[in-house]
Amino acid sequence: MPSLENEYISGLQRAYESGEFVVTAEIGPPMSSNASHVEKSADVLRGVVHAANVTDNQTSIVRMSSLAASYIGLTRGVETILQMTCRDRNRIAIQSDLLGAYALGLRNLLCLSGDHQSLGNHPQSKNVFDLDSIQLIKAVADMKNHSIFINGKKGKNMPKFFIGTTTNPFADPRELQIIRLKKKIEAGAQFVQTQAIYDVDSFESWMSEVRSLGLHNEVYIQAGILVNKSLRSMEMTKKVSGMSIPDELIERMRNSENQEEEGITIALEIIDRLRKIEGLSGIHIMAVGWEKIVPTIIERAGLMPTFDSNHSD
Amino acid sequence: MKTVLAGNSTYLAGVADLFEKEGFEIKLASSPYEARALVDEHPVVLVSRSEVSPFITDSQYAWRLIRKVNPLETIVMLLNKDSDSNPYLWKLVLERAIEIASGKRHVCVLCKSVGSRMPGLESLYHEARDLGVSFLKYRSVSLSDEGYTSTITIDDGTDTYNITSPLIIDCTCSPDESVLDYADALRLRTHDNGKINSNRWFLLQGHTSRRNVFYIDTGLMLSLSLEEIVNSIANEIRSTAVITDNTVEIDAKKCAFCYTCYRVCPHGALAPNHDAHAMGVLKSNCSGCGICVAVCPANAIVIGSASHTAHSRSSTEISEEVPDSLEALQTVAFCCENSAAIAARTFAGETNASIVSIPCGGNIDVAQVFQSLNNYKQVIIAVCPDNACKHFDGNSRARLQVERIKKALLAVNKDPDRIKFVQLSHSMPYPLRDALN
Amino acid sequence: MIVAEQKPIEEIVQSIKPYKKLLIAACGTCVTVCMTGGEKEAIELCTLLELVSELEGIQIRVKTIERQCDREFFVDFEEDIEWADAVLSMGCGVGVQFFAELYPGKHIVPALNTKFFGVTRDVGYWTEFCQGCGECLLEKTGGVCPVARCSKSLFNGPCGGSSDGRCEINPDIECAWQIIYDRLKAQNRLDLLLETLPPRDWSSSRDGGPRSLRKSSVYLEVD
Repeated sequence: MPSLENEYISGLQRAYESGEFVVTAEIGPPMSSNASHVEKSADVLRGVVHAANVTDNQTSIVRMSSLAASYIGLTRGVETILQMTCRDRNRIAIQSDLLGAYALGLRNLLCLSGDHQSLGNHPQSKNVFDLDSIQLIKAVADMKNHSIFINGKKGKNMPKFFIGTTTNPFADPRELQIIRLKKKIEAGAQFVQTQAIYDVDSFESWMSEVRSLGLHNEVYIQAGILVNKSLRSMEMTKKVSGMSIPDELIERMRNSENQEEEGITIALEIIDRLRKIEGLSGIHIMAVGWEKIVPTIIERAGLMPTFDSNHSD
Repeated sequence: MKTVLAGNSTYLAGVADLFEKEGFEIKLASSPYEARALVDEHPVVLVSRSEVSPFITDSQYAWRLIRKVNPLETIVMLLNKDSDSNPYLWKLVLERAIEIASGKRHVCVLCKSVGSRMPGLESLYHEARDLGVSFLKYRSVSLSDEGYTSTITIDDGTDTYNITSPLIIDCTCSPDESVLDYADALRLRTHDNGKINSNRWFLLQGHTSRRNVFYIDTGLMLSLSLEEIVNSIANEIRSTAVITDNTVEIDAKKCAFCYTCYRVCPHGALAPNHDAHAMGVLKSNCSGCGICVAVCPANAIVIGSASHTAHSRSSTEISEEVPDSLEALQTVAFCCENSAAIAARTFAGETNASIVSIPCGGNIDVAQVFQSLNNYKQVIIAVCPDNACKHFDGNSRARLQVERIKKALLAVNKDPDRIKFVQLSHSMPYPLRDALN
Repeated sequence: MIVAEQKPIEEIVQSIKPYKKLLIAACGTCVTVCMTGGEKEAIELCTLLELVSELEGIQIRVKTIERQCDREFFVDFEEDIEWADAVLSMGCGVGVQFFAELYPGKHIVPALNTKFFGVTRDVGYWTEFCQGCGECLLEKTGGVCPVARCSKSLFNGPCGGSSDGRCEINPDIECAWQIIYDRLKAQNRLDLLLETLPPRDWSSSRDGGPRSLRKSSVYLEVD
């Protein structure tokens, strides 16, 4: 259990700064108020990852709040990354949640636009998008660096989050997506997690563009890895907008006698190739519906962190 | 008489001479923009030249080649490989196919759609079939040469198969692209979706979708010479100077100036009158189809001097013996005057249904249909077959209206089958007759 | 233009069922142009309602009020309004409310669902362009409004769901940011997108409460 003092700095940030190849994974909060579900997910990841993202009503499906689940994770000894979308909260709620999250000891924040509600299980709902993700990053950075709220008024004991965001190397229009990444960095993003990578060649060309702009020196870049348990899961993933999966991988999965093992092998191969890319600081593993495989992947990739309990210094 | 010539400048001079011989004063339009500016005042003749396979146009050369082919082998004519073919090319191909087949040769025509419904080409198509010409539909083809013979691989959507022939005649027609800009500016239409495309159905020698716009393709001369075509256009220009009263009128006070009629008119007969802040009618272009009447959301348009009732009716009852009591009638059929109404005359005495002639399927008045459903057990909407509407999409519009009416009936718990949609040509009364009985 | 669509006929039937004398009031402006509430639609609706057995015995009049958002246009129809038990207004939400305000004792029933401010893309096809948010920034976005045309109203570029120029929520929706990008790129003005736009002041929009506008040079305040 980390200290709740304001001085406590993000362990994730320290890992990055010490030059470790950072590994994060995900905790998906349950569609219930069952805390033990979060605890179990946290137990699987404890000592295995540097930190775990806790998703915020991902794909617009109602789940336990990211804030509560992040705290539960933290109490089980896993450093968590609070995900916050702009879909469901206006600037009042966002800032209030940030104050509360920091008071509970959460130190990492991932700022996102959020999936549109029409893709989820309450398509009838009204969305907010009072801020966009860049404005959110700027607001969090202003809290940290200038102790001000969005309205420009000074505040006391303002939260100092380690600020992350996401980027999609495969979304259109590509040039504008790069501009957007630059704007996110200018706004104050310190680390960035990418959409799941299957097409490593295409990712490599994106990274070389990022390097030519020097962006890899300004932000820690973590490549997303999605582990598929079956052909069906891979095919579903391919359908997601902005996702690029080479047909060759689908074929490999289709022809495999042991799809689970093939899914792991594919993920490991991708990780292996990614680690050789200059400017990449870590990976983010998503194993939607197959969370218990994460330690295996990390172990077989030879990426077990050197610490045994993350905040006990 | 003043006439504007527009299009591919290479071919304009010769055509201009011929019109001047006819006693016309000629103005040359230098750009599509100028042609559009002039078209409301003067007739426009659009001149271009399509490139057609030399085989098709030069039958001497064709025969020399065909004689070399073993009489037992099939001669393949490959149509619309690169783009859809216009009726002219179809006519050429059918005529050549008949010519070859008459010489006891096997001919196979490969095409993207079988042309039996091509307006005006039905008899040629049937003649070709009678002579043993086979027609094969395909989705995609690929050609490969193997010395003396070529093999053509055909995919028709379900199967793939090969035809081998020593002589494959590529019947692709390359359109003169420069004319498309003019066609666009002059708002000429095709059957497809109201847009000018490579299909270019508006290109019927001497005719277009607009009444005072004419077309000459000097590359597609058939039996007529250029003089004869110019002469027929000249005669038509002279005769259309006499305007019939079968045109629409717009009530400027009701007009919302929304441009809906302007956008839907298949004949380019509506032009904005900015002084009146309302749409105006170019009587010389209007053919009285009444499509604009049906779409006008402000109810501001009527055909001719039809009486202005609350439910402004544009149709006229032609049934000669309308009984006093409507209850005696079981069915009313709204029939397009170009097809169904003519077909209905052949059995006029045999039915007690009320036949109402309308100028086009696109003129269906939905309010009138709802009213008829109050008075009659059944309502039939009878229009031209697909692709045969002389106003281009009147039949498709009628179909959409019928679907909408059926939905509305279902929503108010009425039997949607009380309205029926029938398509027929003027020479085939049976579909309508069956629907009536 | 304000774009609206007709309510399902079942809903209209339910809402006018209690009345014996009905005035259908078409509106001659926006909803005429969007082919929903003009005279043609009003007459069609009238003839359809006459077919409905639940409404047997109902008397219906159809009138077209040029603009249901200006009081002078109602004057010619006072007798019809007086006669009717209820008015089925084919105006937009503005017209229906103004009708109700002018004739507070009268039951006013809406025939339309008012949708958006948009343009005519083609005959019978309209798309949304503006939300009336009260602070126009179109000079920065190549004349494409991210508030109205981006599903998430994002101000600083597209989300990660933009693919082939289509929005993640529905391939029928164009990604507004793709259009902005294409247009600015063609104009050589992509530098406009480097600026990070700050959080919007939404108080100029509906979020600041119902809005009103007084043109000071024209509006004379009466005690």
